[in-house]
Amino acid sequence: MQGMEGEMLKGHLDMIVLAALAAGPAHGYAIIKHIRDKSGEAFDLPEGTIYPALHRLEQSGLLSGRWTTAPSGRRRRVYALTKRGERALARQSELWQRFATAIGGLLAGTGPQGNPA
Amino acid sequence: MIRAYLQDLERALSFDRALARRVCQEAEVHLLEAIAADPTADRSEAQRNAIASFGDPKEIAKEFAGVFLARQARGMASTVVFIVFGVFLAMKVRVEFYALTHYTMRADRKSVAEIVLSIDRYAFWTSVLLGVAVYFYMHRRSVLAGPTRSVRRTYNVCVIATATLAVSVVADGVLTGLQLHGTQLCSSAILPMLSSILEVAAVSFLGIRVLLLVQRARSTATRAS
Repeated sequence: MQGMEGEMLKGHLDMIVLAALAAGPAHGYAIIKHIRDKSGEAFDLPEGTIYPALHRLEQSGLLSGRWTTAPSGRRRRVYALTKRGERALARQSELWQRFATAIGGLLAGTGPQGNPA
Repeated sequence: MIRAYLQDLERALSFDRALARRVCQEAEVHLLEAIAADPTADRSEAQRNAIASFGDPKEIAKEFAGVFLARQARGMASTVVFIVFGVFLAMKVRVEFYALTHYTMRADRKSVAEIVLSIDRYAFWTSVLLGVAVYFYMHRRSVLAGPTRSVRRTYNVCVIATATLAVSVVADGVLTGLQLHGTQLCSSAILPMLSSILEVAAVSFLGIRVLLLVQRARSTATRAS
């Protein structure tokens, strides 16, 4: 699958991060890996851009973060969805489904030979 | 190589030292995990790959600057509302005190006082409206939307709210002066004077804080761009 346009992806990064954390608490690298695996490597953003999103979502109360010690002995920050985050994700998910359905309807039959008339 | 990259990142995030430390700590763990997961036998190449995948420190700092400025703007909006409320309380106390002690203004000053009072009232309620509006605007903004424009609006509105509040406090001071001038300065004059001084102190604190925050926001935006 081709990589998605960076700007388009950035606009939905918060929702993507929330969705990735719906599977359970994770640290930055694991979140990126999860996003990449689940999207069939379609989402190819610079990995560092996930941290401002995590920080923003934590500040907004949609995520909670805590420092833990990994088996390697390194300290890493693990993020989890809060109740507010779960609600925000459900809302965003519903909006996204409606948007996708509407766009899908508009684009149906508008291929190279498509004719709306 | 990783150390040099983290130093660049820390430098790019220097607008917030605590944030820079935390982000560098997270970035270090991230990079080390990426290197460990890289199937390349050459460690230097694995390090280069990890750094390239992580992205340009300046770009990352730019994203963080947006978060930082939004946080500052929220704090500024809360401070404006808090100080406006404080000034309101001080005014209320003074007015109640005048009513209780039957302080009356001399008749020849009443026409001037009415003009000053209307300026005071309009300026104060403008600052209340702006303060409350900017508070709710900033606290209800969706975090899923880009914060840049809303942050700029918040800063501008906070500056205007502070300026109108300052006008109101100056008018309050003039009114207190008109009320007390010529009367015997006794212990009962302490409360109106004290409340006026508190108002001036509060609005001065707000003005300095808003100016500092605006300056800091400007330098952060410049450094991150």
